[in-house]
Amino acid sequence: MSGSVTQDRTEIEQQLVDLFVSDGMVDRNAIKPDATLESLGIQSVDIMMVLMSIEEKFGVYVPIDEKLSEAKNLEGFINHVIDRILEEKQKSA
Amino acid sequence: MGAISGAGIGTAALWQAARDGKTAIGRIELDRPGQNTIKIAAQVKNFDPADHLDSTTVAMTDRFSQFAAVATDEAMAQANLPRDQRLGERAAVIIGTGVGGFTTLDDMMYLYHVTKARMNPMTIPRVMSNAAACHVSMRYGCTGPAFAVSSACSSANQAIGIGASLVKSGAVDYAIVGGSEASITATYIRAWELLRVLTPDFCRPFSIKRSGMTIGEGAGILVLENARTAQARGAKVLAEIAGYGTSSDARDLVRPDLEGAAAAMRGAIENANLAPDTIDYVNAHGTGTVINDAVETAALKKIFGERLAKIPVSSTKPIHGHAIGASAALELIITINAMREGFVPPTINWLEADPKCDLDPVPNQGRKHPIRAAMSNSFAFGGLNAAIVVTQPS
Repeated sequence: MSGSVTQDRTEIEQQLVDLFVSDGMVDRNAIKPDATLESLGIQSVDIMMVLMSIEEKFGVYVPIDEKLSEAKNLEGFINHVIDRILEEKQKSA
Repeated sequence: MGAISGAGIGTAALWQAARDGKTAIGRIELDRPGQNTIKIAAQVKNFDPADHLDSTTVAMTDRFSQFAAVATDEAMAQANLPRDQRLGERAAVIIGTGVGGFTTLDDMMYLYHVTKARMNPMTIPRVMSNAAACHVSMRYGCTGPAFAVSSACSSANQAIGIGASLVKSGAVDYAIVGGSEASITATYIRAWELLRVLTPDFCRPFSIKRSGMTIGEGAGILVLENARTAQARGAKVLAEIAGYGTSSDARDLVRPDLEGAAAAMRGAIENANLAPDTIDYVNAHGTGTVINDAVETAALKKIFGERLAKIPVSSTKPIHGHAIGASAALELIITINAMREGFVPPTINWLEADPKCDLDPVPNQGRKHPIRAAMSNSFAFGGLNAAIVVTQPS
Protein backbone atom coordinates (compact mmCIF):
# COMPACT_ATOMS: atom_id res chain seq x y z
CA MET A 1 0.00 0.00 0.00
CA SER A 2 2.65 2.47 1.06
CA GLY A 3 4.66 1.36 -1.95
CA SER A 4 1.96 2.44 -4.34
CA VAL A 5 1.52 5.79 -2.59
CA THR A 6 5.27 6.41 -2.87
CA GLN A 7 5.12 5.44 -6.49
CA ASP A 8 2.15 7.76 -6.97
CA ARG A 9 4.04 10.60 -5.34
CA THR A 10 7.14 10.16 -7.49
CA GLU A 11 5.06 9.98 -10.63
CA ILE A 12 2.99 13.03 -9.76
CA GLU A 13 6.11 14.91 -8.71
CA GLN A 14 7.66 14.32 -12.12
CA GLN A 15 4.50 15.53 -13.82
CA LEU A 16 4.44 18.64 -11.64
CA VAL A 17 8.07 19.44 -12.43
CA ASP A 18 7.16 19.14 -16.11
CA LEU A 19 4.34 21.64 -15.58
CA PHE A 20 6.71 24.08 -13.88
CA VAL A 21 8.98 23.85 -16.91
CA SER A 22 6.24 24.13 -19.54
CA ASP A 23 3.82 26.55 -17.89
CA GLY A 24 5.94 28.29 -15.27
CA MET A 25 8.69 28.97 -17.82
CA VAL A 26 11.34 27.58 -15.49
CA ASP A 27 14.69 26.31 -16.69
CA ARG A 28 14.71 22.55 -16.04
CA ASN A 29 18.34 22.64 -14.93
CA ALA A 30 17.56 25.19 -12.23
CA ILE A 31 14.96 22.94 -10.59
CA LYS A 32 16.15 21.68 -7.23
CA PRO A 33 14.00 20.75 -4.22
CA ASP A 34 15.37 23.57 -2.07
CA ALA A 35 15.11 26.22 -4.79
CA THR A 36 12.85 29.08 -3.75
CA LEU A 37 10.19 30.28 -6.18
CA GLU A 38 11.97 33.66 -6.21
CA SER A 39 15.29 32.09 -7.15
CA LEU A 40 13.57 30.37 -10.07
CA GLY A 41 12.24 33.72 -11.23
CA ILE A 42 8.63 32.58 -10.87
CA GLN A 43 6.20 35.51 -10.82
CA SER A 44 2.73 35.44 -9.25
CA VAL A 45 1.29 35.11 -12.76
CA ASP A 46 3.43 32.03 -13.49
CA ILE A 47 2.14 30.35 -10.34
CA MET A 48 -1.43 30.94 -11.48
CA MET A 49 -0.61 29.36 -14.85
CA VAL A 50 0.93 26.36 -13.10
CA LEU A 51 -2.08 26.01 -10.76
CA MET A 52 -4.46 26.21 -13.72
CA SER A 53 -2.57 23.43 -15.49
CA ILE A 54 -2.62 21.37 -12.30
CA GLU A 55 -6.40 21.78 -12.16
CA GLU A 56 -6.77 20.75 -15.80
CA LYS A 57 -4.47 17.76 -15.45
CA PHE A 58 -5.51 16.48 -12.03
CA GLY A 59 -8.94 18.04 -11.48
CA VAL A 60 -7.87 19.59 -8.19
CA TYR A 61 -8.51 23.17 -7.06
CA VAL A 62 -5.56 24.42 -5.05
CA PRO A 63 -6.10 27.86 -3.49
CA ILE A 64 -3.01 30.03 -3.48
CA ASP A 65 -3.57 30.54 0.22
CA GLU A 66 -3.37 28.51 3.36
CA LYS A 67 -0.66 25.83 3.16
CA LEU A 68 0.57 26.72 -0.28
CA SER A 69 1.48 30.19 0.92
CA GLU A 70 3.63 28.65 3.63
CA ALA A 71 5.74 26.68 1.16
CA LYS A 72 9.29 27.92 1.49
CA ASN A 73 10.66 26.26 -1.63
CA LEU A 74 9.77 24.15 -4.62
CA GLU A 75 9.74 20.96 -2.58
CA GLY A 76 7.22 22.44 -0.12
CA PHE A 77 5.05 23.69 -2.97
CA ILE A 78 5.09 20.38 -4.82
CA ASN A 79 4.51 18.35 -1.66
CA HIS A 80 1.43 20.36 -0.79
CA VAL A 81 0.02 19.97 -4.29
CA ILE A 82 0.69 16.22 -4.20
CA ASP A 83 -1.10 15.99 -0.84
CA ARG A 84 -4.11 17.76 -2.34
CA ILE A 85 -4.13 15.52 -5.41
CA LEU A 86 -3.93 12.35 -3.33
CA GLU A 87 -6.58 13.70 -0.98
CA GLU A 88 -8.97 14.24 -3.90
CA LYS A 89 -8.09 10.82 -5.34
CA GLN A 90 -8.96 9.19 -2.06
CA LYS A 91 -12.25 11.12 -1.87
CA SER A 92 -13.33 9.96 -5.33
CA ALA A 93 -12.05 6.40 -4.78
CA MET B 1 -27.37 56.06 2.69
CA GLY B 2 -28.76 53.23 0.60
CA ALA B 3 -27.66 49.65 0.04
CA ILE B 4 -28.38 46.39 -1.67
CA SER B 5 -26.33 43.39 -0.69
CA GLY B 6 -26.54 39.67 -0.21
CA ALA B 7 -28.11 40.55 3.14
CA GLY B 8 -31.09 42.04 1.33
CA ILE B 9 -32.43 45.34 0.12
CA GLY B 10 -31.71 48.32 2.33
CA THR B 11 -29.05 49.56 4.72
CA ALA B 12 -30.97 48.16 7.69
CA ALA B 13 -30.61 44.58 6.40
CA LEU B 14 -26.90 45.13 5.72
CA TRP B 15 -26.18 46.66 9.12
CA GLN B 16 -28.19 44.06 10.96
CA ALA B 17 -26.30 41.23 9.26
CA ALA B 18 -22.94 42.91 9.95
CA ARG B 19 -23.76 43.69 13.56
CA ASP B 20 -25.10 40.22 14.29
CA GLY B 21 -22.39 38.45 12.31
CA LYS B 22 -24.90 36.75 10.06
CA THR B 23 -23.44 35.77 6.71
CA ALA B 24 -25.17 36.34 3.39
CA ILE B 25 -22.91 33.84 1.65
CA GLY B 26 -24.63 30.81 0.20
CA ARG B 27 -24.78 28.54 -2.78
CA ILE B 28 -24.63 30.37 -6.10
CA GLU B 29 -27.81 30.15 -8.14
CA LEU B 30 -27.47 30.91 -11.84
CA ASP B 31 -29.40 30.24 -15.06
CA ARG B 32 -26.13 29.07 -16.59
CA PRO B 33 -24.32 27.58 -13.61
CA GLY B 34 -21.19 26.34 -15.41
CA GLN B 35 -18.93 23.77 -13.81
CA ASN B 36 -16.99 25.79 -11.33
CA THR B 37 -15.25 24.40 -8.29
CA ILE B 38 -16.29 27.39 -6.21
CA LYS B 39 -19.99 27.15 -5.47
CA ILE B 40 -20.49 30.00 -2.99
CA ALA B 41 -21.01 33.76 -3.12
CA ALA B 42 -22.99 36.49 -1.38
CA GLN B 43 -25.59 36.85 -4.08
CA VAL B 44 -28.51 39.28 -4.04
CA LYS B 45 -31.40 36.86 -4.25
CA ASN B 46 -35.04 37.56 -5.05
CA PHE B 47 -34.28 40.92 -6.62
CA ASP B 48 -36.91 41.75 -9.21
CA PRO B 49 -36.08 45.13 -10.75
CA ALA B 50 -39.73 45.57 -11.74
CA ASP B 51 -40.60 45.87 -8.06
CA HIS B 52 -38.54 49.06 -7.86
CA LEU B 53 -38.12 50.59 -11.31
CA ASP B 54 -40.38 51.44 -14.26
CA SER B 55 -40.35 49.10 -17.26
CA THR B 56 -38.40 51.49 -19.53
CA THR B 57 -35.61 51.83 -17.01
CA VAL B 58 -35.52 48.07 -16.49
CA ALA B 59 -35.23 47.48 -20.25
CA MET B 60 -32.39 49.98 -20.55
CA THR B 61 -30.28 48.81 -17.64
CA ASP B 62 -27.95 46.09 -16.50
CA ARG B 63 -28.36 44.69 -13.00
CA PHE B 64 -25.51 46.89 -11.69
CA SER B 65 -27.34 50.08 -12.73
CA GLN B 66 -30.57 48.73 -11.26
CA PHE B 67 -28.81 48.11 -7.95
CA ALA B 68 -27.38 51.63 -8.03
CA ALA B 69 -30.79 53.20 -8.79
CA VAL B 70 -32.55 51.31 -6.00
CA ALA B 71 -29.82 52.10 -3.46
CA THR B 72 -29.90 55.76 -4.53
CA ASP B 73 -33.66 55.90 -3.99
CA GLU B 74 -33.17 54.74 -0.42
CA ALA B 75 -30.35 57.21 0.19
CA MET B 76 -32.23 60.15 -1.33
CA ALA B 77 -35.38 59.34 0.63
CA GLN B 78 -33.34 59.33 3.82
CA ALA B 79 -31.71 62.63 2.81
CA ASN B 80 -35.18 64.00 2.13
CA LEU B 81 -34.37 64.92 -1.47
CA PRO B 82 -37.35 63.83 -3.59
CA ARG B 83 -37.05 63.03 -7.29
CA ASP B 84 -39.24 65.87 -8.47
CA GLN B 85 -36.83 68.35 -6.93
CA ARG B 86 -34.26 68.21 -9.75
CA LEU B 87 -30.86 68.81 -8.15
CA GLY B 88 -29.33 70.62 -11.14
CA GLU B 89 -25.75 71.62 -11.84
CA ARG B 90 -24.71 71.85 -8.20
CA ALA B 91 -25.02 68.06 -7.90
CA ALA B 92 -22.44 65.44 -8.90
CA VAL B 93 -22.89 61.69 -9.36
CA ILE B 94 -19.82 59.49 -9.02
CA ILE B 95 -20.36 55.75 -8.88
CA GLY B 96 -17.60 53.18 -8.85
CA THR B 97 -17.72 49.76 -10.45
CA GLY B 98 -15.19 47.05 -11.16
CA VAL B 99 -16.55 45.67 -14.41
CA GLY B 100 -19.83 47.54 -15.07
CA GLY B 101 -22.49 45.59 -16.95
CA PHE B 102 -20.82 42.23 -16.84
CA THR B 103 -24.07 40.27 -16.53
CA THR B 104 -25.41 41.79 -19.74
CA LEU B 105 -22.10 41.17 -21.47
CA ASP B 106 -22.14 37.53 -20.41
CA ASP B 107 -25.75 37.13 -21.57
CA MET B 108 -25.09 38.77 -24.92
CA MET B 109 -21.98 36.75 -25.62
CA TYR B 110 -23.95 33.62 -24.89
CA LEU B 111 -26.72 34.73 -27.29
CA TYR B 112 -24.24 35.63 -29.99
CA HIS B 113 -21.81 32.74 -29.78
CA VAL B 114 -23.96 29.90 -28.51
CA THR B 115 -27.65 30.31 -29.24
CA LYS B 116 -27.09 32.57 -32.30
CA ALA B 117 -30.07 34.61 -31.19
CA ARG B 118 -30.51 38.36 -31.55
CA MET B 119 -28.49 40.52 -29.17
CA ASN B 120 -30.18 43.27 -27.21
CA PRO B 121 -29.86 46.54 -29.15
CA MET B 122 -29.19 48.31 -25.85
CA THR B 123 -26.17 46.14 -25.08
CA ILE B 124 -23.61 48.94 -25.18
CA PRO B 125 -25.54 51.47 -23.04
CA ARG B 126 -26.28 48.68 -20.55
CA VAL B 127 -22.72 47.38 -20.36
CA MET B 128 -20.81 50.66 -20.16
CA SER B 129 -19.22 51.28 -16.77
CA ASN B 130 -20.66 54.79 -16.51
CA ALA B 131 -24.24 53.51 -16.97
CA ALA B 132 -25.03 53.48 -13.24
CA ALA B 133 -23.83 57.07 -12.79
CA CYS B 134 -25.83 58.16 -15.86
CA HIS B 135 -29.07 56.55 -14.72
CA VAL B 136 -28.77 58.06 -11.26
CA SER B 137 -27.99 61.48 -12.70
CA MET B 138 -31.08 61.25 -14.98
CA ARG B 139 -33.20 59.97 -12.14
CA TYR B 140 -32.50 62.95 -9.89
CA GLY B 141 -31.72 65.62 -12.50
CA CYS B 142 -28.10 66.01 -11.45
CA THR B 143 -26.52 68.03 -14.24
CA GLY B 144 -23.14 68.62 -12.62
CA PRO B 145 -20.16 66.27 -13.03
CA ALA B 146 -21.22 62.63 -13.44
CA PHE B 147 -18.88 59.74 -14.10
CA ALA B 148 -17.74 56.29 -13.10
CA VAL B 149 -14.60 55.39 -11.23
CA SER B 150 -13.21 52.00 -12.13
CA SER B 151 -10.42 50.94 -9.81
CA ALA B 152 -11.43 47.36 -9.04
CA CYS B 153 -11.86 46.89 -5.27
CA SER B 154 -11.04 50.54 -4.52
CA SER B 155 -13.62 51.98 -6.95
CA ALA B 156 -16.22 53.01 -4.37
CA ASN B 157 -13.76 54.56 -1.91
CA GLN B 158 -12.25 56.60 -4.72
CA ALA B 159 -15.73 57.65 -5.90
CA ILE B 160 -16.67 58.69 -2.36
CA GLY B 161 -13.34 60.47 -1.84
CA ILE B 162 -13.56 62.41 -5.10
CA GLY B 163 -17.18 63.34 -4.37
CA ALA B 164 -16.24 64.57 -0.89
CA SER B 165 -13.39 66.62 -2.38
CA LEU B 166 -15.77 68.24 -4.89
CA VAL B 167 -18.20 69.14 -2.11
CA LYS B 168 -15.43 70.45 0.17
CA SER B 169 -13.92 72.56 -2.59
CA GLY B 170 -17.29 74.20 -3.20
CA ALA B 171 -17.50 72.91 -6.78
CA VAL B 172 -20.84 71.26 -5.96
CA ASP B 173 -23.28 71.22 -3.05
CA TYR B 174 -24.36 67.60 -3.45
CA ALA B 175 -22.59 64.45 -4.51
CA ILE B 176 -24.33 61.11 -4.91
CA VAL B 177 -21.47 58.65 -4.52
CA GLY B 178 -20.75 54.98 -3.95
CA GLY B 179 -20.28 51.82 -5.92
CA SER B 180 -22.19 49.06 -7.65
CA GLU B 181 -21.30 45.59 -8.83
CA ALA B 182 -23.42 42.76 -10.22
CA SER B 183 -21.12 40.39 -11.98
CA ILE B 184 -21.79 36.97 -10.50
CA THR B 185 -21.85 34.78 -13.59
CA ALA B 186 -20.18 31.42 -14.06
CA THR B 187 -17.50 32.99 -16.24
CA TYR B 188 -16.74 35.70 -13.68
CA ILE B 189 -16.43 33.22 -10.83
CA ARG B 190 -14.28 31.01 -13.07
CA ALA B 191 -12.00 33.97 -13.82
CA TRP B 192 -11.56 34.55 -10.09
CA GLU B 193 -10.97 30.85 -9.56
CA LEU B 194 -8.07 31.03 -11.95
CA LEU B 195 -6.43 33.58 -9.68
CA ARG B 196 -6.76 30.98 -6.89
CA VAL B 197 -7.83 33.57 -4.36
CA LEU B 198 -11.35 32.21 -3.72
CA THR B 199 -11.90 30.00 -0.72
CA PRO B 200 -13.78 26.79 -1.39
CA ASP B 201 -15.40 26.98 2.07
CA PHE B 202 -15.14 29.83 4.59
CA CYS B 203 -13.83 33.35 4.24
CA ARG B 204 -12.03 33.95 7.56
CA PRO B 205 -10.05 37.20 7.51
CA PHE B 206 -7.08 37.61 9.89
CA SER B 207 -7.53 34.02 11.09
CA ILE B 208 -5.18 31.13 10.93
CA LYS B 209 -6.16 28.63 8.20
CA ARG B 210 -7.70 31.32 6.04
CA SER B 211 -7.87 30.26 2.43
CA GLY B 212 -9.18 33.19 0.46
CA MET B 213 -12.14 35.40 -0.25
CA THR B 214 -15.74 34.99 -1.40
CA ILE B 215 -17.33 37.13 -4.12
CA GLY B 216 -20.35 39.29 -3.36
CA GLU B 217 -22.49 41.80 -5.23
CA GLY B 218 -24.65 44.80 -4.51
CA ALA B 219 -24.54 48.58 -4.33
CA GLY B 220 -23.87 51.16 -1.67
CA ILE B 221 -24.80 54.81 -2.19
CA LEU B 222 -24.19 57.84 0.03
CA VAL B 223 -25.50 61.36 -0.39
CA LEU B 224 -22.83 63.91 0.48
CA GLU B 225 -23.88 67.46 1.11
CA ASN B 226 -22.19 70.74 1.82
CA ALA B 227 -22.58 71.56 5.53
CA ARG B 228 -24.06 74.97 4.73
CA THR B 229 -26.95 73.75 2.57
CA ALA B 230 -27.54 70.75 4.84
CA GLN B 231 -27.90 73.10 7.78
CA ALA B 232 -30.06 75.56 5.86
CA ARG B 233 -32.61 72.89 4.93
CA GLY B 234 -32.40 71.13 8.29
CA ALA B 235 -31.06 67.87 6.85
CA LYS B 236 -30.24 65.08 9.25
CA VAL B 237 -26.48 64.55 9.03
CA LEU B 238 -25.34 60.99 9.72
CA ALA B 239 -21.59 61.47 9.57
CA GLU B 240 -18.86 63.62 8.14
CA ILE B 241 -16.53 62.37 5.43
CA ALA B 242 -13.49 63.86 7.12
CA GLY B 243 -10.59 62.51 5.08
CA TYR B 244 -9.65 60.67 1.91
CA GLY B 245 -6.32 59.19 0.95
CA THR B 246 -5.37 57.25 -2.14
CA SER B 247 -2.15 55.83 -3.54
CA SER B 248 -0.76 53.56 -6.20
CA ASP B 249 1.81 50.88 -5.38
CA ALA B 250 3.33 51.11 -8.85
CA ARG B 251 4.74 47.61 -8.34
CA ASP B 252 2.72 44.46 -8.98
CA LEU B 253 -0.74 43.93 -10.46
CA VAL B 254 -1.90 41.41 -7.88
CA ARG B 255 0.50 41.44 -4.92
CA PRO B 256 -0.42 43.99 -2.25
CA ASP B 257 2.23 46.37 -1.01
CA LEU B 258 2.72 47.54 2.57
CA GLU B 259 3.98 51.02 1.68
CA GLY B 260 1.13 51.75 -0.73
CA ALA B 261 -1.52 50.64 1.74
CA ALA B 262 0.05 52.66 4.55
CA ALA B 263 0.31 55.74 2.31
CA ALA B 264 -3.43 55.70 1.58
CA MET B 265 -4.30 55.37 5.29
CA ARG B 266 -1.83 58.07 6.30
CA GLY B 267 -3.22 60.32 3.56
CA ALA B 268 -6.79 59.86 4.75
CA ILE B 269 -5.94 60.60 8.39
CA GLU B 270 -3.86 63.67 7.47
CA ASN B 271 -6.54 64.88 5.08
CA ALA B 272 -9.00 64.68 7.98
CA ASN B 273 -6.60 66.80 10.10
CA LEU B 274 -6.71 64.12 12.75
CA ALA B 275 -4.05 62.38 14.79
CA PRO B 276 -3.98 58.59 14.29
CA ASP B 277 -4.91 58.11 17.94
CA THR B 278 -8.39 59.49 17.35
CA ILE B 279 -9.27 56.57 15.06
CA ASP B 280 -11.29 54.17 17.21
CA TYR B 281 -12.34 51.61 14.60
CA VAL B 282 -11.04 50.34 11.29
CA ASN B 283 -13.18 48.46 8.78
CA ALA B 284 -10.41 46.55 7.07
CA HIS B 285 -10.08 45.57 3.45
CA GLY B 286 -9.58 42.11 5.03
CA THR B 287 -10.23 39.88 2.04
CA GLY B 288 -9.30 36.67 3.84
CA THR B 289 -6.36 35.90 1.56
CA VAL B 290 -3.14 35.04 3.35
CA ILE B 291 -1.17 37.86 1.84
CA ASN B 292 -3.71 40.71 1.99
CA ASP B 293 -4.45 40.31 5.66
CA ALA B 294 -0.77 40.03 6.65
CA VAL B 295 0.21 43.05 4.56
CA GLU B 296 -2.77 45.08 5.81
CA THR B 297 -1.82 44.27 9.41
CA ALA B 298 1.75 45.39 8.80
CA ALA B 299 0.52 48.61 7.17
CA LEU B 300 -1.87 49.29 10.07
CA LYS B 301 1.04 48.79 12.48
CA LYS B 302 3.01 51.35 10.56
CA ILE B 303 0.24 53.89 11.08
CA PHE B 304 -0.92 53.08 14.60
CA GLY B 305 2.17 51.50 16.21
CA GLU B 306 1.53 49.80 19.53
CA ARG B 307 -1.92 51.32 19.82
CA LEU B 308 -3.09 48.98 17.05
CA ALA B 309 -3.62 46.25 19.64
CA LYS B 310 -6.31 48.45 21.22
CA ILE B 311 -8.18 49.36 18.02
CA PRO B 312 -10.93 47.03 16.85
CA VAL B 313 -10.22 46.16 13.21
CA SER B 314 -12.89 44.03 11.61
CA SER B 315 -13.51 42.71 8.14
CA THR B 316 -17.17 42.41 7.25
CA LYS B 317 -16.44 40.64 3.94
CA PRO B 318 -17.44 37.22 5.32
CA ILE B 319 -20.89 38.81 5.79
CA HIS B 320 -21.54 40.59 2.48
CA GLY B 321 -18.80 38.99 0.41
CA HIS B 322 -16.28 40.92 -1.61
CA ALA B 323 -18.54 43.00 -3.82
CA ILE B 324 -15.51 44.46 -5.66
CA GLY B 325 -16.55 47.90 -6.97
CA ALA B 326 -19.37 48.15 -4.42
CA SER B 327 -17.46 46.74 -1.48
CA ALA B 328 -15.96 49.93 -0.11
CA ALA B 329 -19.37 51.64 -0.18
CA LEU B 330 -21.07 48.77 1.66
CA GLU B 331 -18.25 48.82 4.19
CA LEU B 332 -18.39 52.58 4.69
CA ILE B 333 -22.13 52.32 5.33
CA ILE B 334 -21.39 49.66 7.94
CA THR B 335 -18.61 51.82 9.39
CA ILE B 336 -20.93 54.83 9.73
CA ASN B 337 -23.57 52.68 11.40
CA ALA B 338 -20.92 51.28 13.75
CA MET B 339 -19.87 54.81 14.69
CA ARG B 340 -23.43 56.00 15.19
CA GLU B 341 -24.39 53.03 17.34
CA GLY B 342 -21.06 52.72 19.16
CA PHE B 343 -20.95 49.05 18.24
CA VAL B 344 -18.20 47.34 16.25
CA PRO B 345 -19.20 44.46 13.95
CA PRO B 346 -17.30 41.17 14.19
CA THR B 347 -14.99 39.32 11.84
CA ILE B 348 -16.82 36.03 11.60
CA ASN B 349 -15.49 32.53 10.83
CA TRP B 350 -12.38 33.45 12.82
CA LEU B 351 -10.65 30.41 14.32
CA GLU B 352 -7.41 31.44 15.99
CA ALA B 353 -4.90 34.25 15.88
CA ASP B 354 -2.38 34.27 13.05
CA PRO B 355 0.89 35.72 14.40
CA LYS B 356 1.16 37.71 11.17
CA CYS B 357 -2.20 39.36 11.91
CA ASP B 358 -1.67 40.40 15.51
CA LEU B 359 -4.48 42.87 15.80
CA ASP B 360 -7.92 42.78 17.39
CA PRO B 361 -10.23 41.47 14.64
CA VAL B 362 -13.30 41.56 16.92
CA PRO B 363 -13.46 37.79 16.59
CA ASN B 364 -16.88 36.30 15.87
CA GLN B 365 -18.83 38.56 18.21
CA GLY B 366 -19.47 42.28 17.84
CA ARG B 367 -19.31 44.54 20.85
CA LYS B 368 -20.04 48.00 22.16
CA HIS B 369 -17.23 50.43 21.57
CA PRO B 370 -17.43 54.22 21.42
CA ILE B 371 -16.08 55.62 18.13
CA ARG B 372 -14.98 59.23 17.59
CA ALA B 373 -13.56 58.62 14.13
CA ALA B 374 -13.31 55.51 11.97
CA MET B 375 -11.42 54.48 8.87
CA SER B 376 -12.48 52.16 6.04
CA ASN B 377 -9.78 50.63 3.82
CA SER B 378 -9.80 49.25 0.33
CA PHE B 379 -6.89 47.92 -1.70
CA ALA B 380 -7.37 46.95 -5.32
CA PHE B 381 -5.71 44.77 -7.88
CA GLY B 382 -3.49 47.04 -9.87
CA GLY B 383 -2.04 48.26 -6.58
CA LEU B 384 -4.61 51.02 -6.06
CA ASN B 385 -5.32 51.85 -2.43
CA ALA B 386 -7.97 54.13 -0.97
CA ALA B 387 -9.02 54.91 2.59
CA ILE B 388 -11.82 57.08 3.95
CA VAL B 389 -12.01 58.56 7.43
CA VAL B 390 -15.40 59.43 8.88
CA THR B 391 -16.20 61.36 12.04
CA GLN B 392 -19.29 62.05 14.08
CA PRO B 393 -21.22 64.99 12.65
CA SER B 394 -20.09 68.28 14.18
